[in-house]
Amino acid sequence: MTTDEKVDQIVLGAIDEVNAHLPKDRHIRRSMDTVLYGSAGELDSLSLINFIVAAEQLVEKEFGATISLIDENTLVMEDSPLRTARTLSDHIRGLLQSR
Amino acid sequence: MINAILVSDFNLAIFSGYLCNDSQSPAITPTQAPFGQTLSVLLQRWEEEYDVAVVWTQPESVIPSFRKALEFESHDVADILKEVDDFTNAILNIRDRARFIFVPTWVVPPYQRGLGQLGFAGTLAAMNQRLVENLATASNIHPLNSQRWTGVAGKRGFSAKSWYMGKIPFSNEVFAEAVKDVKASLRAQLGESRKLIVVDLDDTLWGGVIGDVGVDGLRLGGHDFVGEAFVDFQRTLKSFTNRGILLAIASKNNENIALDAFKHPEMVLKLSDFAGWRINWTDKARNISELAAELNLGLQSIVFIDDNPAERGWVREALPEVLVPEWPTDVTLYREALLELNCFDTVAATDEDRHRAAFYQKDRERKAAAVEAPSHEAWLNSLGIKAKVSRLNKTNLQRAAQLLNKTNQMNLRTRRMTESELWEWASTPDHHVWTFNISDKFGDSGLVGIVSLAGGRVEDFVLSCRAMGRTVEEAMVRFLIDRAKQSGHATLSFEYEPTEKNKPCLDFFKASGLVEADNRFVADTQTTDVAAPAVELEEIS
Repeated sequence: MTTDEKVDQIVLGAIDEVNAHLPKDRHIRRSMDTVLYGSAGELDSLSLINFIVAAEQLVEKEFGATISLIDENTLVMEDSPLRTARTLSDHIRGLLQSR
Repeated sequence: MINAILVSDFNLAIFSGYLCNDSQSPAITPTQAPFGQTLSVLLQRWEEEYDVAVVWTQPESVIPSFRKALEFESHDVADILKEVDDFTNAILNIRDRARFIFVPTWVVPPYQRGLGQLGFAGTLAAMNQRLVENLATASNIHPLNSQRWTGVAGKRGFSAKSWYMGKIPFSNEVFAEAVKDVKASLRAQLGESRKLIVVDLDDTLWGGVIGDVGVDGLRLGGHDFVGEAFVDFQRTLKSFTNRGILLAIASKNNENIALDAFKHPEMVLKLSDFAGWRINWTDKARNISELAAELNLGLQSIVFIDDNPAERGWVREALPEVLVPEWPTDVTLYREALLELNCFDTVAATDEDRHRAAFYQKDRERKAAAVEAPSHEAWLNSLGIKAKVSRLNKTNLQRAAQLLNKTNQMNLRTRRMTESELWEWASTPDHHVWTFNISDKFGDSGLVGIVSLAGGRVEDFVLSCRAMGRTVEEAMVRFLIDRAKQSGHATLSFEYEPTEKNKPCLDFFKASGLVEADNRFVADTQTTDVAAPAVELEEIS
């Protein structure tokens, strides 16, 4: 699996972790096109926390790298990297490359 | 559906979600009490009653002197323990508001090193010891080992980010493990724990195929890491019999060749450790079904362990009620895989549990005698069955409650009660509970029957599966009719409440001669005569 594919799987894995504690009718769509955050985002505040932590832990497990997906700007930016699963995947790759 | 209230000083929303979604029995609907208000929730009146309460706290939140310890402020361990006493009193305050109350023990993150060396471990151990001792005064409050959950999750068990962002101190993995233990404990309380392990032989109990390599060629013990792992696995299986779990064998082998293996000098398990076996070339699902029938156990009581994935797959498909865990290919992991199973959790282990396998061995001898007897009646009379009847008392209460909660097949109403609930019920005016201890010429079966009366109505009619079929049931009915008559009741009613598992009870009452209407069986205390000539009854108290 390429690094890109691994990162995509991490994002989808984080969606799986969130869905594990959500009722079936509120499951987050398991797709790279899923809008995660923002006005049309599928994650509520609790699920967002859980998603971020799950994604960071999965990155550490896969790549041995400690990253932080959010800072004081991430949640207020118009073009937040958390907006979709795909933008998040790009963001993670960027963080890994910059290390 | 079981309703639960979750009381905590932190956000239990993830735990609540896992509880809801977990597919294992029993299904739970949780309600989160406002978090961070633990003491006021415990001390205030509740508007609803709950089946289950979970009280899960962080030690530094509810024990202020422990926070001082964590922050290296001057503190006294005596103050810490006094605060633990105060906190446990608050938990004891809710003992009557939920049938089962679970209290996870306290843990701190591994990065809390304290001054180094033992760190806070000693203080935390003393706090947890006090917590457990204090809560033991209520039989419906059960501490749970949260250190096991954080141990499974490892370094990722504690999540600082989740804490700061959402007041969630633990990772999802910790909550997932917690759900498993809450459910396992509930299954134990409700009599749903598994009772029988059916094991394969070749490459499961020992290394090698005995039909090929003979006894001397088996890998078992010796200076061989694989042999040693098999010995430890056998030792662990044997330890389970001390908890009342039965063992049986389902193996594709020639029986005489396979049984030769028990002569191996390093065999830990003896044939007498097994309640039954089917060693032949027949399909294992059929063998397991026959063992279940022989031992009077439902398939839902059984766990099947086999190194062969094809055999496991077949039994899973043919007998979906049998639990067939995935099994490691690495024999050094066998013992761990067995110990990790949470389907055997139980409230307590009694002396009767420890001798359960011996009971079944005696039963084999009884059945062998039955084959030789000229008639069923002659066999029954030859057994010399004695029933000692005692009123419920503090000595037999634990075993009586255990029997009430574990027995499924010969159980009229399948009432489930904690020890304190049973005692309280028995102490109510015009309520009576008696226990039956059965013995015969083959041995003592122990306390195997419970009956209870409320006026002219039988509330409980319970008999262990290993005492069924020897007219003890008839003796219990006869006893109850006599008691009802002595109390001046003209009739005695047995109202059968059907479950998935208690049809044998219905079958018994249908054949009993009592008058039946819509699952209600009535005896006229003056005229109904239920014969049990083979059972000699002695009333002890």
